[in-house]
Amino acid sequence: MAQLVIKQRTKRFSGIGQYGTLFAILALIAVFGVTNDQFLTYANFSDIIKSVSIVSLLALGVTFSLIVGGFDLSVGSTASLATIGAASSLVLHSQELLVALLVPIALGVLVGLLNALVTIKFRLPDLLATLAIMYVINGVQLTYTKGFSIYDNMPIEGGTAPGRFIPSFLFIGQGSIGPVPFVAILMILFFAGAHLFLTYSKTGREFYYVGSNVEAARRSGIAVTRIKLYAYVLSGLFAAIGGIILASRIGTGQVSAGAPLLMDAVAAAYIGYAVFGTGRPNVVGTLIGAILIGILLNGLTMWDVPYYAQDIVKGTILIAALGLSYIQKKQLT
Amino acid sequence: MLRLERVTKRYGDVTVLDDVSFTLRRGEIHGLLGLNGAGKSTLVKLLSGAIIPTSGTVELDETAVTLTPAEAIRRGVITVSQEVDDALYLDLPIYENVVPWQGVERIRPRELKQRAATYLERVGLEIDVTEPVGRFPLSVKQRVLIARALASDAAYLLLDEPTAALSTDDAAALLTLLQSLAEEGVGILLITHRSDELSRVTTTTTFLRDGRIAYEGPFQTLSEPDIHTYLSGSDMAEAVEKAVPKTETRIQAELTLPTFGTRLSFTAYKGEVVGIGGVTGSGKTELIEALFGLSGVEQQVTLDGKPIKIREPRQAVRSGFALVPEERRKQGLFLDDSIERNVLAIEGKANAVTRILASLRVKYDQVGQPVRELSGGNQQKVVLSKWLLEDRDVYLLDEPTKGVDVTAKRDIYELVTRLAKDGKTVIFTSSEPHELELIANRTLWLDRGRWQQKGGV
Repeated sequence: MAQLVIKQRTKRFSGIGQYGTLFAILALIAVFGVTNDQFLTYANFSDIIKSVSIVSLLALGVTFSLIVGGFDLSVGSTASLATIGAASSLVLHSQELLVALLVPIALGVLVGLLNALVTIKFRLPDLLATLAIMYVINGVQLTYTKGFSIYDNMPIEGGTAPGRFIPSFLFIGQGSIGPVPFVAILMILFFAGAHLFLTYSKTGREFYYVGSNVEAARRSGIAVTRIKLYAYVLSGLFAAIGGIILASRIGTGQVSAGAPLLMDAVAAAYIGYAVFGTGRPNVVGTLIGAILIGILLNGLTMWDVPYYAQDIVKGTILIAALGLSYIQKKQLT
Repeated sequence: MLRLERVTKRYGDVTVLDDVSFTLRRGEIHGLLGLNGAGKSTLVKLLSGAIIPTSGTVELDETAVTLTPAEAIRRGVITVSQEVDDALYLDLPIYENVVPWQGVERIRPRELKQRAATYLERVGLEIDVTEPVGRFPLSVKQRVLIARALASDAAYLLLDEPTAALSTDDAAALLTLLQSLAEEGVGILLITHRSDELSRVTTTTTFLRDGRIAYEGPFQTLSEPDIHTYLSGSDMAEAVEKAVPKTETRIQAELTLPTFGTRLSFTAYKGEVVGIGGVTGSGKTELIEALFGLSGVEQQVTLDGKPIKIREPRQAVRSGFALVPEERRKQGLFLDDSIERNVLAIEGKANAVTRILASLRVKYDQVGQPVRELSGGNQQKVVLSKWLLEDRDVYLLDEPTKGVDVTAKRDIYELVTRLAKDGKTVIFTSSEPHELELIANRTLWLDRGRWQQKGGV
């Protein structure tokens, strides 16, 4: 008999996929809390949030590039460039807050445009093209600083640097409103904004359509290249904001400060695939991924695991996250 | 109405459609029938704006239009291709695959889900709209695409072999759905090879042969011989003069098809052309792959009386098998390499290349030219050429005439009979019963990895 009406209930991807990351976070908190009495303190959590905020913003950038089916590996070096841009404006050119924010943001947007140029216009593979841009940007900031960091009262030709890290700039990364670190508020605002944009706006949905099936998207009249351009610009923008917070938090313009953040950001975004069992990059998942990594690295540091050994853990997590996203992807074809 | 007015489409020297006028009216189900290379897909692509005519015009509601794919969709001309996955956002929820978001500025997921559900109900789907569409079988995906067409106010629906890969039940249900859509005023173009479907639902059927219209009118009044003539013409039948198989057994095998978990016994003789028929997903490719060591498990085959084991293509090649895979561009060619390098990929001497190419009437400028630049038919001949330099005993041809123009097809038929006359065994798969009837000494039909009595038209 012909089946005129198809009724089907499918099982959601469950178990590890859907709530696994949340369980993992709770489990980590429990383990670190039991083994170290300094872990479950306000000071430590405030610390975790401050480092998570930086990584999460870079990861947010990566997420945008992943949503449209691209990949931005240059976010770490963009953050470094933004750090140097902000520090140079403040210390070497004695500029005010607005300039110290606008310069790094402009630099971030510029990197985004550059990434868009090589991937969209020149049609180079995203992964390799943005890797190349990463090296270029890294070289640019090293050339500009001649490899030295920029800090208050640093010696320059004919005396010391004229400007300094002004308090209003330092407030971004170090201040708090009541008991809440200012960066936490910033982070929540950016993530909420990105989430609302991607879920409720027409353009936001188009990001997902482009990433899901670029040919189908093109055929239904979506301006595919423009959407990809937006994604890379947003990626550069968020990486730059991450760089600003980084500069403000450490109070210096350290060369290559953003480089180690790349791995964390990529891992956070890929953990995000699994968070709601959807197998898609999504900003809320990315935030949870960043928190997971932040807690893990903080706990490992408290256990006196040296930072170089932490890379082993990070790499392993990334492999696990990639594996999980691959399994989910496979169910969809 | 949607109309092609005296349309000709050429690719280089090859004329795919020759001065064709065709009309699709709202409210009708118009069947379209033709062998591989007859120009069906080209006709659909012209109607849907995927390609533009070399000469002639496309008309929509009596005015000439230049369609792009996006423009066609906007005007209500919707194509559901055989490759449904190409048109779907597999990892996105069903509702996002259904509702058009153009013209919607603010997205309210709840509202979209409700709208999607109403369209899905019209196509007979009661499923969780938040599930990614990639998790569902083909029959559901097709209906999702049809629901999407309804959501964008489809006036014309062009369906390229929608039933080819469906089970009989699913196919029957789909046809019932199409009938109800036609009653609502949608003009439906239905490509299918199944006579029963054409006689059941179509109001008019057009036969394409060699890029021209061979017949247009009701299908129900046609006799078997009529259908045969309109499809292949009498000249094609003359072109194929079957060889007489010898009595010596060449292949005797018990094949395992891991995809279906079935076992098939299979015998073929020297000088025989064995046709393997069946719809997409029936196991044709799996059978071919099993014989060529691509099934992932070890196969026991008796070849010319000697038992051999085939686990990897290397062993099959060493035993004298040759393979022309179904996906020519992906599996059969080194697209950016020259013709010469492709032909010499197996073994052989460079000086023989031009002779082989000439014997197959391959059209090319020079042997150093990348294969990518050749037409589909000539590419297929290059794939065949690489197996002709060396003596092979068994030729496994998986849908060798798919996407091939009619002259190239004739050359392939000629080669197949020539090989059989030389005592080779040719295993030839096709989803077109008429083609198999034309070329094969004996045809076996597959259904989900098992032999069946008879299927198709």
